[in-house]
Amino acid sequence: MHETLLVVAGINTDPAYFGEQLVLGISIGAIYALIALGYTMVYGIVELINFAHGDVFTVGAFFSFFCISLIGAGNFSGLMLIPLLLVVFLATMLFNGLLGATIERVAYRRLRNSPRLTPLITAVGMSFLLEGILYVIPGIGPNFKHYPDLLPTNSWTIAGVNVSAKGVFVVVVALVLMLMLQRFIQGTRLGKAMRATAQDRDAAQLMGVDIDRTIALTFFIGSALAGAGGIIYGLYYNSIYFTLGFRTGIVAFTAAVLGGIGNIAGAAIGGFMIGIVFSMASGYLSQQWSDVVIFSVLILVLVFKPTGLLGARVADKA
Amino acid sequence: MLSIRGAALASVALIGLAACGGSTSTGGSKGTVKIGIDLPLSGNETSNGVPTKNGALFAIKQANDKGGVEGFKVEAVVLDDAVNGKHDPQQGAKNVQQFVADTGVLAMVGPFNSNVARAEMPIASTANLPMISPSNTGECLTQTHPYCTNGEPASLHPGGKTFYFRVCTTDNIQGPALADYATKTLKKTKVYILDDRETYGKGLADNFEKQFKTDGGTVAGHEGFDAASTDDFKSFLNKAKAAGVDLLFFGGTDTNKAGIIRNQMKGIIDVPYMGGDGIQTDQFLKDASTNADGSYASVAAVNADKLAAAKTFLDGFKAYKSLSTTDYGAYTANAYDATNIIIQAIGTAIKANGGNMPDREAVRKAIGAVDYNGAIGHTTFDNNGDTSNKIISFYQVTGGKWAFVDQITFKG
Repeated sequence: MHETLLVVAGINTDPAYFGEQLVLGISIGAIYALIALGYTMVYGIVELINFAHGDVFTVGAFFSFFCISLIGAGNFSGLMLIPLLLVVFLATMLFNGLLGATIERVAYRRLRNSPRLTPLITAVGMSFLLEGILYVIPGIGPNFKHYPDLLPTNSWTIAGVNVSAKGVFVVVVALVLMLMLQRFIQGTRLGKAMRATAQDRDAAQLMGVDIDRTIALTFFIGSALAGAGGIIYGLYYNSIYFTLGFRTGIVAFTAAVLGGIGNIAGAAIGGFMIGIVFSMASGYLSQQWSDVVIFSVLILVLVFKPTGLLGARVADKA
Repeated sequence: MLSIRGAALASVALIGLAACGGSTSTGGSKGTVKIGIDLPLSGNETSNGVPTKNGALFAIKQANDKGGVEGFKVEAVVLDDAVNGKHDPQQGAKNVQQFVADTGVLAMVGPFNSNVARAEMPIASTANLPMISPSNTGECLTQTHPYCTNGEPASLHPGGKTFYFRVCTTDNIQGPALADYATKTLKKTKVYILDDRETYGKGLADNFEKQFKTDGGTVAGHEGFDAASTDDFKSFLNKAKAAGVDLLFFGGTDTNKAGIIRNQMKGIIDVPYMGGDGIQTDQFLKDASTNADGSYASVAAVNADKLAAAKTFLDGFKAYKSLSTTDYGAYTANAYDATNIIIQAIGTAIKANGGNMPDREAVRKAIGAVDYNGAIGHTTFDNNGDTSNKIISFYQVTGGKWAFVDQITFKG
């Protein structure tokens, strides 16, 4: 009965279709999660919404794009694919990390004790600045660029659901990076310093934590993860452009808010959830509606549960 | 008012004509009639304009070789509308003013680009100078549609008369023609449609949808996306797959991710992909990467090489210039027919005027009434100035390259 109604309404009731949308959502969500981590880590430690973060992600996409051109996309085949991709990942994450730390040093550090609106506006300005720079760099320009198609295009059918190698790659890389982040924060001295700084900056300083260095490190890690997100995005969609980070960044920010801004596990979960919301909205409503649904989620969370799903639990903030 | 470059070009053209028409000096005993030719001829536009110009000059040479038209010698006034190597509406407008000022110019061939036509048409209309474009496909230049802006086409016809004609068909024929091709030739029955929400793309997709339904096909869905912020076409493709379509149609251009969509189809849905002339480009092939094969596109022009009527023209042209891409292009035959139509109309007007030099109004009327069989087939003009010769050619990607497959005469 219900099923007939759904069919009449033009809604697909095939469980395999649902499964495929779910797989898509998880893949997209992995990218959003990687970017959301950067938002949430920075917020956790300096209580700043770093609006330039989305554009740092774009920089990562383009930096890796040029890396791949430099190495030659044709060389990424067979056995060389994995080591060369590793080189691209390391170079891009290092470059992006340094970029993030530089942005913090130049634009945010001096404003650390200013009213909270000041660094926020600076962040918006930094976002436009980065977009502008990308636009004028020769070889980027206004049109989208075709990101090389390096990953194998195999796909498998598991229980009637089509799973692509690309999608698996995206999720695996994202999970590995998240796991590494988790180990770093919970298991190292620097991670401990980050947690301490997030909890109480003054107390941490009194205990001998180098605050400036710890905050710079936070920006470094967040931006490096965004850079990795940029590579994955390019490899997955094969299309990048200078304004890419604007929408992607805001969606990832929504993911961070949904999970509880400042909460690392929350950002990861929020990212996957927003990815699934996106794919379900475009799969069952239409692509045009997906952004409407995503940003409705943002507003609903802010109105009814501003602390997000997991909450910005102070003790866990990092 | 003559610009230096215009003067130089015109004189070059004159010298050229004098040189090749040397033996026909007897042809022009009663005087000279002039035909203006305005095309983008320099810089990056050379490959567009020069082969087109060659078609026009070839027609004029043939006329003079046969003793001119009704005892008058035909002379070409060739002007370049490219500035810094790119077609320029302002330069086009200046060129047309120059044609208008020369009372010997009875009609003109050109322009090449629709936006140049927008700048030229009001001037030519006011002066009642008839023009035939070999290549403008923007339908708003001549036809009234809800999506036409700036008061077009009326604003382009301040003189109120039909003075602008074209020998190629319009973009809005492409959608229906593609639908016919999909249903009748490719035997497709169920399609999913995507468009980039722009004037060209949405118009193309809407026209395709209408005709596809008329032809008895099923449209499983039609969605638009914002090209500036959309990269994820996979959920859309999943939907198309779930609906069991046997064709995917995209209304839009290569700059709006036509090739990316085709690329993302790989591994999700394996059906042909179809679009208009906006995707019949090298950029599309690059973006679609290894999945480009099996894509179809239309072009709103005749592929003259494949037309029986074109054989005489092609043989003659080979003797006149060559068929290499520097001399011969997609619109050479169009310009040849456009110029011949003008020459024929001038002949009619001269006869009607008792063998004397006619005025532009007489030529304009004669063009509108023309019934012509030429290199690109049979041409007559409707009240808007559009050709009855609604031939659309189809291309398919095979082996990573666009290849001509078929052309149909659209009878919409």
